[in-house]
Amino acid sequence: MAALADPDRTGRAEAIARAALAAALALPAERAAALAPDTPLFGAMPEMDSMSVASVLAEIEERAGIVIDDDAPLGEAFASFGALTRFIAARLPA
Amino acid sequence: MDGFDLRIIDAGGERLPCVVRGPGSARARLLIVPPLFEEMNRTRRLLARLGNALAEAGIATVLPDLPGTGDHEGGTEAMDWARWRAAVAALAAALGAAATLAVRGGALLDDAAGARPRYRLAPVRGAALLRDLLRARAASDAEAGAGISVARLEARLAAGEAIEAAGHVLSPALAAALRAASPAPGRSGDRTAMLDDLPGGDIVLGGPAVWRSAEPAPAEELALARALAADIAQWLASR
Repeated sequence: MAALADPDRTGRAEAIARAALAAALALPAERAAALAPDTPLFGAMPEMDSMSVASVLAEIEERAGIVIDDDAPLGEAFASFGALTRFIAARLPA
Repeated sequence: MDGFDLRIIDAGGERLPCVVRGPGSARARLLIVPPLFEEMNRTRRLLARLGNALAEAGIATVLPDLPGTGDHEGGTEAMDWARWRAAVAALAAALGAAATLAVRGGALLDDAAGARPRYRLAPVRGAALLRDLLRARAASDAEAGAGISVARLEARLAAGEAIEAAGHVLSPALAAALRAASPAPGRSGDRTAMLDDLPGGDIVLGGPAVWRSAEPAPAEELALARALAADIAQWLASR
């Protein structure tokens, strides 16, 4: 799990998470910029439903060049912006 | 210039409903190869604004409904990969198109237009589009309490069953063709525009990924249409 502490990897993952949420949910720039690690996502953001989760996943895959498997723990990943960042960081290619 | 014509164009045995924009005397006619499935619905307004901006620059565009989509009179069975590719080829020839403008999944079909120069906006692999469709279906099933996973949907396709996803009927044959499809490699002189700094782009335009969102911000969408039109006009003029 050492990779998760890599600040560069975390930074890339956070940028991907922010851009994917902004694109998939059509967030205004100021709301995308205001996303912080403790910002809650699923159940808290009005734009976020299970359909938009599918769009966010697709955007993450396109930006990160990865495929997120079917049984990934999405409930956990979409709990907060920080959780989504960690979810992506763990799947980024080196 | 916001005018447009709706025309049925006969090409290669298909009757293709087309939105035609721009001056009839245009020096360059651009065949738009549209995004596929739900992405087309979400992109329709961007394409209208892009067509208007290109018309102002003296460039005519033709935007077809592919067989089995939009106003095309064929039913679900007309949604067929080979028919889509044949329609793009026949329409490009019938129009004498100067170039193709493929958006998203359209880039999986634009090489059917042969040697014509290709401009692409955010091309995508077929496997990614298929995954999106199945995920959307899985998500709506999950909301309805059915809890069907993407893997279960894949298994049903593999067993020869058609799947309805995001309002489209996906036959096993179409799913297989989609899964295997990648944009043909770009050639010298072709151009690819991306919204973000992702691999494979010749220019980064920024702007909203309208194919993802049901309600993109209208002002940003208009700005994207104008930036795209300017880049396309310059590209065409340089050829």
